[in-house]
Amino acid sequence: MLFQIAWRNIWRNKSRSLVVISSIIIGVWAGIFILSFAWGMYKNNINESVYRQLSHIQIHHPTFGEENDSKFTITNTDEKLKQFQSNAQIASVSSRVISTGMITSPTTASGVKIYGINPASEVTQIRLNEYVREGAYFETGKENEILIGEKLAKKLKVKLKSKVVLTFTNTEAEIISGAFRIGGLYRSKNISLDEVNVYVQQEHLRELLELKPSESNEIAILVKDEEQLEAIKNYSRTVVSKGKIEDWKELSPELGMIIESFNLYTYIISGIILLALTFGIINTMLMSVLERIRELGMLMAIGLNKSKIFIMIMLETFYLTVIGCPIGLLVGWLTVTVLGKTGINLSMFSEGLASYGFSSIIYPALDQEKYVIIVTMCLITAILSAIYPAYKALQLNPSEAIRKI
Amino acid sequence: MLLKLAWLNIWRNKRRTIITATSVFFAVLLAIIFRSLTEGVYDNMIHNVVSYSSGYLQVHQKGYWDEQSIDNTFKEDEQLYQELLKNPNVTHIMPRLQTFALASYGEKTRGVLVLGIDPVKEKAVNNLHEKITDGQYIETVNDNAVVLGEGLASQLKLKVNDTLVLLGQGYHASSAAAKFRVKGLMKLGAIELNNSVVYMPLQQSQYMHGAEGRLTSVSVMLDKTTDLEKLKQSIQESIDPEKYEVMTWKEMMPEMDQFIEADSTGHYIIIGVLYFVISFGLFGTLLMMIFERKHELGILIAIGMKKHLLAIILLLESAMISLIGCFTGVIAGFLVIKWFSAYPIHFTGELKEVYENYGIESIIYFSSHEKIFIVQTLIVLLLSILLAFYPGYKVMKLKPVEAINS
Repeated sequence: MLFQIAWRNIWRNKSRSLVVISSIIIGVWAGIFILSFAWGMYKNNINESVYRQLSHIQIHHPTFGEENDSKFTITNTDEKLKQFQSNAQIASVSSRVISTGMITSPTTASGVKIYGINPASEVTQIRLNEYVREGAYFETGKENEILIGEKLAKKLKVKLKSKVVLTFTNTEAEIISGAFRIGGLYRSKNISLDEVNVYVQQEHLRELLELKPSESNEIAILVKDEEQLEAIKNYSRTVVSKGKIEDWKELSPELGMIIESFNLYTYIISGIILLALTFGIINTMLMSVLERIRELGMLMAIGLNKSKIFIMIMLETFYLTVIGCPIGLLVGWLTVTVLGKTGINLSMFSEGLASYGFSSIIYPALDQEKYVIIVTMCLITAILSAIYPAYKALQLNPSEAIRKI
Repeated sequence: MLLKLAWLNIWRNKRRTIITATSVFFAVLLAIIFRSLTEGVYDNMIHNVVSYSSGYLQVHQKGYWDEQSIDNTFKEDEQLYQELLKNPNVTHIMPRLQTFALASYGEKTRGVLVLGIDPVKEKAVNNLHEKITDGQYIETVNDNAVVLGEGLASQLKLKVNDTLVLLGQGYHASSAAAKFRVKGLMKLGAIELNNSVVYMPLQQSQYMHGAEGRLTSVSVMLDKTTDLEKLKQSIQESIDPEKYEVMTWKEMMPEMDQFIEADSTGHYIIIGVLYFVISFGLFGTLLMMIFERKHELGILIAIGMKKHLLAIILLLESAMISLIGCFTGVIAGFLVIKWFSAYPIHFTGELKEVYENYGIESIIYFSSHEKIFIVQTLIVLLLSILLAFYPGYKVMKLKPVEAINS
């Protein structure tokens, strides 16, 4: 019986019910949109790091990470690379020889990390060629060509075709110097790395370091589907049995921090939105109760007891919420899906952004889990915010209430 | 007359006024808290990063930034310190001699960043002594010992009390070489720093480089809320512009500034959505008010009240209510933020660890720039006044007969 009364009540005054329903729709939508947008922003940063710098998986000699010494190598790299390439789940794989040392120009010196790369394979791996601003990406084929960051070039006061000297220790702990000619200048989106990372031909660096052919320090893997990350990690263990295999989360704990902060941030933002929603609902429901004083008084006078009045008002709110939530969910989901395809171009809001080289298009995205959380939280909020108005209704004195206009 | 009528009207039905004012109140409060929180996160991040690295501002010898060599150093100058500290926003100053050298132990050699610091002043800014994991912190400017990052120590395979050899370029092309006892190891948040930094007392570093009494920079720490550009201006005016250059962290670390710029652009969208939710809540309240008062408004028109005057009264009423809400909202926002500044929220669990590993204080910090209060209140006020046009519009379209019968 009460269910029916409540249901009819909400349709008796359509505009009032629509206000509450729309508040709920907007609350759910806003929650979904904000979270998906914020996640899109973080995802943007994470992808930048994963696809342009770290790759999904890196394999090193177990002690290479701690000692940073080029003598800790993975042997028979060529063969292993072939094995990885034959796996259909792997998008790209490349090997690197790495050494740390000093770069010297006629004016000054600076500490650098020297990457011996295979230019062709880095095109698919970190798309290094796209970053080249001046000169060319290892085109001359000369073995002493070097690619350095624009920022480092500025610091060293060198230009394209200038000569620089790299000094580092080889595997026998002897100090080696090699002269290189700058073939290209690059600028990536992570300017602080531009100052330390320099790239040379792998073969040449290997010779200078006196490594054996086909020895290298790092194997980087990009997978096709991130879901498969664990499977590929396991597969890597079979290919490189002695290597230390790390995924991007282990490689860059900062990204872990970003994700952790995101979770915290999520709760704070949803809290603020839900609060805003709560006051919207409390106000409207309170007004609707107080507006109906006469009617409620009448109901009491003809014998509806207080607990039933309370339940009736709670039921009304519940119905309104149950109508609002799915619509909000649908609208939110549609927004995320559509914007997730087209993207939101932030450069509209900040002209400077694009010139910094940040990718200014954000693709909102959200896990299913988060949808559920938002809807549950909105449901709970809506019902909680009905308690006060319903309680207010209980305070009514029927004889006074009826006389009120 | 109209003003008085509106004023009497809003107090005729206190409950309704209070409900509407509360909506505005919470709108202002939430907007202020949101902005303060997002700004606060950046302020806190900047504060932590610059306290280990450049400081908010740095004073160099003119031309040092373009050519960071030890030859571009300047003489320590007590007068400069006084001049800087005279500014009320300056909390600390840190004189430094920063160079690049090769560090050797046993068979291992690494390129390192050598920071000659004043251990006492440095400690007051970034609690460097708390980062020590093994051994001890350097105590005074002439302590003959060094402290280095754990990462670097493990690469060099050295422990506390071992002897580190440093080899670098000294002042005016002299060569700088010296042996130091390792007094302590420290774990620093930034991995790069942890893998490459050697801290050494300032005088030792000056002696080793043959640059007695010379500095590469004086880092200036400020109150978190200081207007950076203005302060830079005032410092520039107070010191010799021919001799020194003053740079802000934004100029020295453009990548961080850009990151913040990019991130905060996103927040504009988020706060836009918040305004949307807020205005809808307000709109709902106004809508309900109109339903409720239809009867009354109908009668007023029937007895000869001009519709447009009535609309103006309603607009005035809403404006008054919004003003009350805004005013109380600002006060409450101010109190809330004061409270959280005095008793900050601390993270717990995993996140706390992650933050502390990075050397960032694990607190949620609220910014209390005046700008936030003013801008957010004005925006909400503007929104609520715009929304208040709706009741006026409704009145203009009201049919008295229907309204009275409803």
